[in-house]
Amino acid sequence: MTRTRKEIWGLGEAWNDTVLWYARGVDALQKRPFTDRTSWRYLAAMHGFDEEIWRAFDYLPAGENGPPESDLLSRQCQHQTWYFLPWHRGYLAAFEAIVRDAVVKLGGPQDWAMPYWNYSDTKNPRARELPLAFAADKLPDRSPNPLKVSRRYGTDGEGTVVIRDDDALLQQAMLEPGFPGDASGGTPGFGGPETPFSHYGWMFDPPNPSGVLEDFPHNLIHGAIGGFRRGGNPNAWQDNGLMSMPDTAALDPIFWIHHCNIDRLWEVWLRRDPLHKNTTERAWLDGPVDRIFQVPRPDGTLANYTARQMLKTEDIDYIYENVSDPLGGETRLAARFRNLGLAVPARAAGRTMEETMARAAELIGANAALVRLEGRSIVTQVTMSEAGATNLAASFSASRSLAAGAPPKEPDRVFLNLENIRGANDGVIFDVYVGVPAGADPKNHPDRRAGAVALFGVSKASRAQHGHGGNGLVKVMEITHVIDSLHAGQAVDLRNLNVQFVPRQELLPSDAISIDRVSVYRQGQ
Amino acid sequence: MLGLASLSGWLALASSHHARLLPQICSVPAGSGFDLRTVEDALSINTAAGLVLSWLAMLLAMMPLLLSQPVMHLWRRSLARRRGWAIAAFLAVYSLVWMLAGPVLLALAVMLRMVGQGSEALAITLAGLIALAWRTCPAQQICLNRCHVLPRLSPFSFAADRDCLGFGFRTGMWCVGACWPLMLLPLAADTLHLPLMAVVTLLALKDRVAPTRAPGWLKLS
Repeated sequence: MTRTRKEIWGLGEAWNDTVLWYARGVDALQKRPFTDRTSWRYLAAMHGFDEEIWRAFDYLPAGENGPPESDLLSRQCQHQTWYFLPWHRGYLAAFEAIVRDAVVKLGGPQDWAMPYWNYSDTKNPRARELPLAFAADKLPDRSPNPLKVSRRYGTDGEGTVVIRDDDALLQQAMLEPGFPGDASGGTPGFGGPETPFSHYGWMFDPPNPSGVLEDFPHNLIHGAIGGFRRGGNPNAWQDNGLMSMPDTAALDPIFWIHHCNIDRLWEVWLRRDPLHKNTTERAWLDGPVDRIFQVPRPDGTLANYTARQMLKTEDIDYIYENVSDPLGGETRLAARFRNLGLAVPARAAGRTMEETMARAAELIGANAALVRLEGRSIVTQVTMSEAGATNLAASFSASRSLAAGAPPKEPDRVFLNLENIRGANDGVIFDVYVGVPAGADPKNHPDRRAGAVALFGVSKASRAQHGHGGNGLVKVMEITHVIDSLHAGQAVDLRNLNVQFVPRQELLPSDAISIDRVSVYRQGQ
Repeated sequence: MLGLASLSGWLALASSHHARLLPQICSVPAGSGFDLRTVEDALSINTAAGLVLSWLAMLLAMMPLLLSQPVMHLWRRSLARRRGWAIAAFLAVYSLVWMLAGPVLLALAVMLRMVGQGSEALAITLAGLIALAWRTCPAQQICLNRCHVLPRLSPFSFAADRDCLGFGFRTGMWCVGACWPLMLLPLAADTLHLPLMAVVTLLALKDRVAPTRAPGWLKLS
């Protein structure tokens, strides 16, 4: 039976049937012992598990043990990898089947399906607010609400969750043309860079960036919901929200509703442009070879899966109510050429994108020293190499000097790399601006905004004994639109580029958040 | 490229007598006691240059595959025109650290053969026990964890050179710290020199790609 996943705000009142049965199902799972593979806690530990944190947060009482390190079912979540989307799809489908089984046993509907939270819906003014049922103290029958958790600190540190409009924007993800990317400093791709099994990243390669969808909006939404406790110590995981840390995120019932939307956005991306395709590489379709993806069925038996089995939602018995294109058919290339004042013949768009994807990225500039993020605004200057600046400028000139009738040539794409971000606070979010003149208020220069960065997973990535080997996180942000704007204005010296970080909360020296290097890469010509 | 470099090291070892001088110097006649004269005798038949070449061939065969992570880091994080120089500078200092470690390891290997009264099997067993003891020690895991550290690389001029050289030095030091007992195994062997080199290369590679973890005692895996 194919079931339909529907948008949570569109389901009507807070305690509509779908959400109410979700709450009852969650409650049933929460009552099961940890040792039961279909229990709430076991399913959450499949995403990530840290005994110290779980004990401190009372999810693992004294005398009870969590899954051992050797348990191949736990600690599976895939991040900073091209397996991010297929792994989470299989994980979510297994969770949905287990909840549905519980719902049916409680007398609920056979066709119950997960709702999704479309926080990017521009037609609903309340779309970015936390769905009401998740903040209610009680269920309609006055029993405790299992969907509410106290460690959900939100955007104000006190539990109010309202996603900022620009954190829910889909342009970056939806306009990204290719599925796989790499860690060369250019685009990490819509789906992420090629890696083996990558729980908290793969440590043998240099740290990999997240795919574009994983960063925008996935990580931002995690950080905006989880946040950290106002008045607490932002430098301590004890004051982080559940959703801020990969090891606790799946303990918050909103996690699953969020990931349902991320899974839907994969479908939206595939359908909105015929050039958008999943990779056909066998390493992705049939991998990873170093550790298998495994989930429990409702009866507790285990099922293995690969990306190949996750390609069509219909094959996993669900579809989405709405997979329409939120950008009305806009393509990255068309948007760029329009900004540059160039005409875009439709026939050239696909070829140019493929050409762009085929080219390795190249470093063209970097700042002079490690950056410590302290205070409310931090500025560093990226100096371009002579050759880098010349080649970048030449790519703009080439795009304008083509003979009449020749297919358009796209100038280089440009990417800002924040290399080896380390810190202890997973709940931090900061905005990044490029090319704002010294002393100017970046808020007055929205066209210079590169985007925002959420440090979901940074604390573990910064510790030498965990997956990343202590190298922290790498964030890659496309700044092509900013460079285009600067190039058109010719008011800023592109050889020396200010990069400004504006944290959402004041950062203290004790936060110990640092960025080894801020660099700029070009990719394309 | 790194695979080809490793292959060239193996070919040199397999095809050249001079490339296998190291196991020969460690060979002490069966039944010999701990006598420095046997070392002097062995040294007299091997030139210093030959020993250096032999050690270099071993390093060339065994180390390149362990360096894919730092070399990739240097490639991706350097300006295009500096990539070759950055990798060469790193490799030069990294190799220098191992070259300096060579005489110490050689002396230890000779001692093992002497303690073993010239018995290759006993010397290998002793080297194996040392390697096993080191694996149970937190110090090895500390070294392995540090091998994964990828530092900031300055993009321009002197600072870029300094960062690449420093990266090579630190990686070399942590690599020696993690692998020195393993290297004793092929050095203590004669007839089994090449097979043990192959085994040790695989073991070192396994250690290198394994996830970093908290240092602790008695983690034999």
